[in-house]
Amino acid sequence: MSLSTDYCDVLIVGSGLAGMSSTFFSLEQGLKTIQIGRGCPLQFYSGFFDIMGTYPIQENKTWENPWDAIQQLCQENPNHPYAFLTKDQLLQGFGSWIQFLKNLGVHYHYIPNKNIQAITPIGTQKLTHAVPEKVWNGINAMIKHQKALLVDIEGLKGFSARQIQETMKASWPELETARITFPHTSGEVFTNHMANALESISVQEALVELLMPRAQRVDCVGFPAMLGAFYHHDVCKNLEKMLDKPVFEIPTLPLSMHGVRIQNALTHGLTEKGAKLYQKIVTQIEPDGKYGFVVHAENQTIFAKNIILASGRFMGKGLLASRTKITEPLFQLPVYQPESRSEWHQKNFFDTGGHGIHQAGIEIDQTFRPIDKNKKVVYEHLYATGSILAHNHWMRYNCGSGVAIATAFGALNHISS
Amino acid sequence: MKTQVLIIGAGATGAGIIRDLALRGLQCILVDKKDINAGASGGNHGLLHSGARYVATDSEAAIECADEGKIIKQISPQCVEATNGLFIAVEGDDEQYIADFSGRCKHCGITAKEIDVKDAIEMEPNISPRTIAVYEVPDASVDPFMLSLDNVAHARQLGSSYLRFSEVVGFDIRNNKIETVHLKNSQTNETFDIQADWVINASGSWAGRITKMADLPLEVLFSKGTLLVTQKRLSHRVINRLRQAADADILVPGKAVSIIGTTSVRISDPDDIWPTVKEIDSIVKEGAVMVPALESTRYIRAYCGVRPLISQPGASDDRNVSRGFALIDHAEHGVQNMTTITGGKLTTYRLMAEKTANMVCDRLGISEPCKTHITPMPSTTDGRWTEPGMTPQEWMHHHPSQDIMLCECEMIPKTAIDHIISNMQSKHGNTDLIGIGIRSRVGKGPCQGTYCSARISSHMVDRGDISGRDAVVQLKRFLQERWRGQRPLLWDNPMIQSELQEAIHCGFLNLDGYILPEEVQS
Repeated sequence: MSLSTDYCDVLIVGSGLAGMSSTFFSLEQGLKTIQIGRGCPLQFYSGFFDIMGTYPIQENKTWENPWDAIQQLCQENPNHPYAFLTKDQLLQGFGSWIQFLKNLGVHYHYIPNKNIQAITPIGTQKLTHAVPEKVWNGINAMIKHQKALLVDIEGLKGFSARQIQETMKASWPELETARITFPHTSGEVFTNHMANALESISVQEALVELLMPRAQRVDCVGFPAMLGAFYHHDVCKNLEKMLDKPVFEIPTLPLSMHGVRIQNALTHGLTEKGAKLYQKIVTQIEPDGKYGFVVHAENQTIFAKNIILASGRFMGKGLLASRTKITEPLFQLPVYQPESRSEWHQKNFFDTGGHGIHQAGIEIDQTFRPIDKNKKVVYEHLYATGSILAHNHWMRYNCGSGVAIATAFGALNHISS
Repeated sequence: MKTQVLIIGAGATGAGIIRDLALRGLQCILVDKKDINAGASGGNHGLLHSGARYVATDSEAAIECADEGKIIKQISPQCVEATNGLFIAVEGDDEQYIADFSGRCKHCGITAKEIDVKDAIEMEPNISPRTIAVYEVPDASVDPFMLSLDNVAHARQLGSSYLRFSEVVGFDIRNNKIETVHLKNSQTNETFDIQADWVINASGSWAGRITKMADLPLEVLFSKGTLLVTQKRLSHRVINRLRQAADADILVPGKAVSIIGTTSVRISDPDDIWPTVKEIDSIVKEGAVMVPALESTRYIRAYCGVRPLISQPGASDDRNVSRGFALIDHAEHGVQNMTTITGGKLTTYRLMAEKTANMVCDRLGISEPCKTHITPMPSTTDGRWTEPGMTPQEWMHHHPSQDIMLCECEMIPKTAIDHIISNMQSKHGNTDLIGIGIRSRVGKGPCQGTYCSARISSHMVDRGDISGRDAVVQLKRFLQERWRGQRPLLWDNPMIQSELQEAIHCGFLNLDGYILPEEVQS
């Protein structure tokens, strides 16, 4: 393979939610944009769009209104990434992201100024702000105490309708269950295979056949997330027509089809919009006086005026943990972290107060540029977004998606201003 | 409930005793407040000592180990991998100790063959290039879970029973005899009684708590030992450091993995024990002197066990006093029908059981002799799933076409889980995820239970074993128990893995913030 050379205004390192939204906002600013990332991390995404749910976490205090939670958080934690943005900016960023997804065929439902109790595949509930439309149908049916039939599939592991029904008995006593064998399968089945198969009308008809007459006696019918891959809308529309009632989906353990659909939609949509998306590993980055940075990846050199580091935490390899410390491998940026490994994690895995390691990450100033111990910007043209940021605490605050998109929006505002 | 002998504690000793007595024709009940090998029997190296480790400090223990090791290899080969072991010394180790070693082994009847260092490095490429002396001895590795499960299974075949989650909470003592033992189901808190002609206290570190309920004097001290499991097996043989016993100087292979340890730390409470970051770092550092790969290899988990020490004045190092065992007839303290057995090591569990059973039979006027040293221990289905690699083999040979893999790391199919569950149900107590973990490799692979825990608990709800609400409780308990062993070694890949685990179970399933609703009657 020959060596190729690229030039861009903005290079985004990372292809998770922060990387994708940074790419989107960069294109929105009319900048020449390249994204480079490892694999397809968004496939692991549940599809839940969290903004802010729990604060202070020590008290496990949950909020009906995410904006009230953000307000209190920013007052008490001026170094949380949200504190670098106004409410109007957050609204604008989230709004244009959700609109973009809608244009790509991924419809989100949310109630302004409200959090939602979403249903998980083990029947617990989880606070979030926006959910894919068909996920909302199920939550709505629960809230309205509708009679519903939840279907699970023979041979699909980790998804039991009976478990969801039993765990939710108090909040949704009207829920019934049915187990079916998916048409033309035996033994182990997977949601992505079934999702693809369901894009055929004959499979849709066979599925509906299996649900009769039980489906006639309920107000809506639910499934594990498997109703189509690329043609999710058409699949749902057809099923709803044949069943004559709404259908809903409950996300599965990763890989959930919600993540897969968003991954596909964004890859397609951002490419259409003009970005170059590479799946490669960045091997080396050098600052370059003339062009900002020279970035080396396999068989490729990219000259970038600006870089956005959206490489995530440990899963994304944006941060590396060794036996003695946490490092950032691409720029060797200073990483805020607890003093020693004994302080990384609490004895209780589920500690509502979270773990010391959750605070670790790259510290930035209000321009979204990484800073050192003396609060000095490290590189003039380097920005960082998403979960790699110190103090974001996404796991316990329930703010992961929100922080990714908000910081992407913020960073691009600074680049273009 | 009535029985001839009640045995408290289902570790290796209690399991050995119930089989010994059952083979002599007695009908017994074995109880445990948790489950099989919940204490030190489940928190050790899984090493069948040749005895060579004790030749310098305790030749009696060395001889016992040598004899018992041979017997266990013969009667229960299914639990043993006859790996052999090397004792290696590296530059700087005590030369006098090295010089005396083979003579001392010979004195104890242990074959110690001197190996040329070059040959040794060829036999075990992972040992230190700074090795200066090597001896080969008949060490072996043993699966402690299979050992206890098979002992209990055999006793059950002979008419005795085992009750899980049955905690002794008190004794009725009249005329210097225990008339009734009060127990509590530790899952449901229901109480029940057992009348036994004789009570054997084989509760290990908890022996002092049991005797206290009968107003008997026994002071037990606790020494914690921590061990580390590697993801890959690093040696064919057991590797021992050829020196006075100290921290992190034994590396034991067990099928697909290796185990390095231990430490020795005096603690005040045997219940809530944690391997610490400090211990882990010192084990890695010290172990790497002997096997340098330990510095860079991936670790799967850490765990610890507690050695019960019967207080003896003058003992300087816990490691030395802990090897002996104490067999106490409480008649001298005023209770005529109770015996305590504690201490000892896994290698001598059968001998401890024999001596205890001899004492009890003697007092009960039963003349049947011990048969455990000659009667082969049947390999039962109870213990078979604990062996790494066993389930894939079974599955490849004859898997039903409808079967699905619930655990991909360790290749455990639904049929194996169903088998384990039906096995557990015959032993009192509810079906629980931790119990499935004890009886199989579930949760022991690189994903540490991230996926399989959720899948198996869903499957248990589907089967009707537990409610949806219980599934949440059990999932949390299981993951918290695994966390104990993950927490101190989260760097490199395990850190990535644990972040995924937390993202799924806290970020997505909200197990950290979720508050269980009140139970609803169906």
